[in-house]
Amino acid sequence: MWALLIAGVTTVTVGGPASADGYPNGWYPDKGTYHSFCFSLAFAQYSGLVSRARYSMDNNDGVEAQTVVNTLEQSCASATDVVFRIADLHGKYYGYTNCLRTNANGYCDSWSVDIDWEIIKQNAANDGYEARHTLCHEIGHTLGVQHYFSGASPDGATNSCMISGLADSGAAWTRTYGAHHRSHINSWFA
Amino acid sequence: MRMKKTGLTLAALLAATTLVGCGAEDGSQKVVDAPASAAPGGAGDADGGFLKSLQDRGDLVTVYRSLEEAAAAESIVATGVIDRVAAGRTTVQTTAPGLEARDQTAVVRIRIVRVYKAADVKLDDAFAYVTLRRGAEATAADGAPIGAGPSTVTSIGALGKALPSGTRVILVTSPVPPPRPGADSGRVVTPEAGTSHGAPLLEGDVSQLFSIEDGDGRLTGWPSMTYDDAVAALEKAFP
Repeated sequence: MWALLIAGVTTVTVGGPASADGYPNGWYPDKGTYHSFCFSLAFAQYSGLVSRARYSMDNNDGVEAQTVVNTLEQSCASATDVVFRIADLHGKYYGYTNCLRTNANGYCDSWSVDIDWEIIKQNAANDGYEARHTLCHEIGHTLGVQHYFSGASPDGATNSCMISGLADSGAAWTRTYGAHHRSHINSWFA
Repeated sequence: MRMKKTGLTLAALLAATTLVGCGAEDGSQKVVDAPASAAPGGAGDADGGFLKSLQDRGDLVTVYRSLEEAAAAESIVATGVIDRVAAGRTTVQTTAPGLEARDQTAVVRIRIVRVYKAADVKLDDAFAYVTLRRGAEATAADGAPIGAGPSTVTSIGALGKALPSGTRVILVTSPVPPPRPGADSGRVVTPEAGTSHGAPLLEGDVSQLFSIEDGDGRLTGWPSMTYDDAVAALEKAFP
């Protein structure tokens, strides 16, 4: 287990070997046929967020379109890979990701993607665009990649949805994984 | 061009190295009187990397450019030393019928050395209580964890080891806001856990808000500064 965890030590500015970045706390995502997802009972009440979460996963411009990962919507079960939740993140975060359970091989078998819709609505000029950014960002963590801060993109001058902070312009990059992160995701799930 | 509704600027760059720790939850140890640090001032034994692995884990709303900027914006500015680590609030969300997720926190009790600012907040005379997320886990409706592998929640024991008593702390933070009405974001089942009755619970999930003196003498949230640098800056900002 320690070998696995030590392998998760990384910095966002170094390309390194083509493996997942190990987020959070070194948890790597389980590799299944599908990266399944569902909506918690509370999240399901927000139809605008539900549709944007679906866009973020689909094969038009979501995870399926951008990476080798296949996604599947299902009813929430203990091994659903991504559980979208509404959260109160105390005004400190727009979104947050937790590993909720691991399987016997030490990989993360189920993640929560928490969205603070109230704070997004308070701070974003366009809350729908920021929701897409935050969803793309947090889903990225469930695919094993780390975020970065302004000025430290692993793709140099090109930004991606893994930037931390408000990115509500609606530009394509705010809902898109950069080449660096796509490379990590694709090599992990291939 | 779109304008932000707030004046908050994401302009600084945080050290984003993620150190990892084995998050085995012992489930029995709810309070740890943190072991005393052997080094003067607490530096030396504290594991700042472990603390940072629990902080800055979400998509941050604000990153400050300087300690002074943070001190001007946040409502509490103080120095202190770590006294103990205890289990904090648990928030429960129902994911599906019979399936829940429990978000666990810790409360780090800080013995206050000096308060520079406490705007609209009544701090306890002796201690400040700082909350830290330590993970979440999927459970059955009776609270029993579901999962065949290692726990996803950092134990109080491991956290207490990483944050020994006497470790020097810079707090530039604000109280946790009261829970929002409605149960969308879950129900807090242990609101007073780890705190003294009536004392405000302070935010610790962001490294710039709750920063400790690491083994190398640097502050975890302000890696270009030592503890003494930070105190000097605060003395200047709050003469």
